Amino acid sequence: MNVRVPYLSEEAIEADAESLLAEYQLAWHPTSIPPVPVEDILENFLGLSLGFGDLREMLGFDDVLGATWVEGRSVVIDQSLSPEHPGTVEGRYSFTITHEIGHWRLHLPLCWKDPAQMGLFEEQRCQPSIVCRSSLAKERIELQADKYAASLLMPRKMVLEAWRGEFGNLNSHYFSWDGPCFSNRPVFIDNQPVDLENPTHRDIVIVEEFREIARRFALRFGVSVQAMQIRLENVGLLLRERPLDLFSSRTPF
Amino acid sequence: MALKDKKFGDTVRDLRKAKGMGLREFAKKVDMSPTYLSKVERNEFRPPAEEKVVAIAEALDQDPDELLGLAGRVPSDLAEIVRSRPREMAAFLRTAKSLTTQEIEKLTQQAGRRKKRSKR
Repeated sequence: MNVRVPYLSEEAIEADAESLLAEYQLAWHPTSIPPVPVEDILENFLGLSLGFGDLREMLGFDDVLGATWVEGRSVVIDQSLSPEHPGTVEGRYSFTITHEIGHWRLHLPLCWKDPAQMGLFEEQRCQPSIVCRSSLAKERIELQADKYAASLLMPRKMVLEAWRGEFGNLNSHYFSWDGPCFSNRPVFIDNQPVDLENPTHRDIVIVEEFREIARRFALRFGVSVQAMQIRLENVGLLLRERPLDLFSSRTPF
Repeated sequence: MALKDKKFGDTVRDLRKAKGMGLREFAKKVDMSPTYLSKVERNEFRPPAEEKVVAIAEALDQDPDELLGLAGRVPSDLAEIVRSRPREMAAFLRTAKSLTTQEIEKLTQQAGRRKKRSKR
């Protein structure tokens, strides 16, 4: 999309996602337990049409994931991401839907065309207002929609509640050279015990330990493990480094 | 809603949304894949087979015959009725074609009463 996308702070994006969820909960479904029903929000609360289609064929891009037709109030997800498609991960599908919700909430004014064109809606014939391709994931408009998706699928409040339910408190977990600070469990990678003394494994161990926690939460929130891990780090519950402590005698690694 | 003024796919999508049912939820209810249903709804695919159209109509609380008509399909029992007595039924339908909807309804009621009497 060749328009200038204004800067939006992460806080502003998250605030809008929280606001959308609150509006939905108030008007439609007072759920406060994950997973967030993003299909229901898109179709019934926002009143958009959801569909699956061969976007790669339709739009001529090999890496297209989803598209939004603003005037037609329609979102089409590439059929390769459809939940019944073999090998499809539910979390990736949910994230793509929510990513399109993000575009709808954040970028609608940038895409709105002359109302005279509204009567022309027909997905197969009209070009979509927004096309989401994996190769364009680093563009500002896509990063904003990604942030929105993470905030809506994994609302901070629900994440904190889930964490409290799991660990009994809201303390962050972090990892040190000598292993995870919160657990005495041995660490395994591909079913093989990992030598925590060996610093070359450090990064792998961290990633694997993070994933173990993220995996459990990802199941609850209906998202991919990777998305959950990023969100847990973003919320400040999983830390890659031991936080600096003014009164600690131990030198941070 | 006047069904005959719209395409089959648009009608199904509008009726589904009016009932507040999501695409996947509805697809599961009528035992179809979400992708296939989505393509039918967007008129990318032709309407499905008769039994699926009937399932869709029932899930949407609609008259199956009306939705089958919109799908451009003749219910299989009607086809069988015509096949069983082709000359009489064809003549009857051609004659009834020129009647108004109300006249056809009246005729149907009369035929129903006659059918009941003949059963006794």
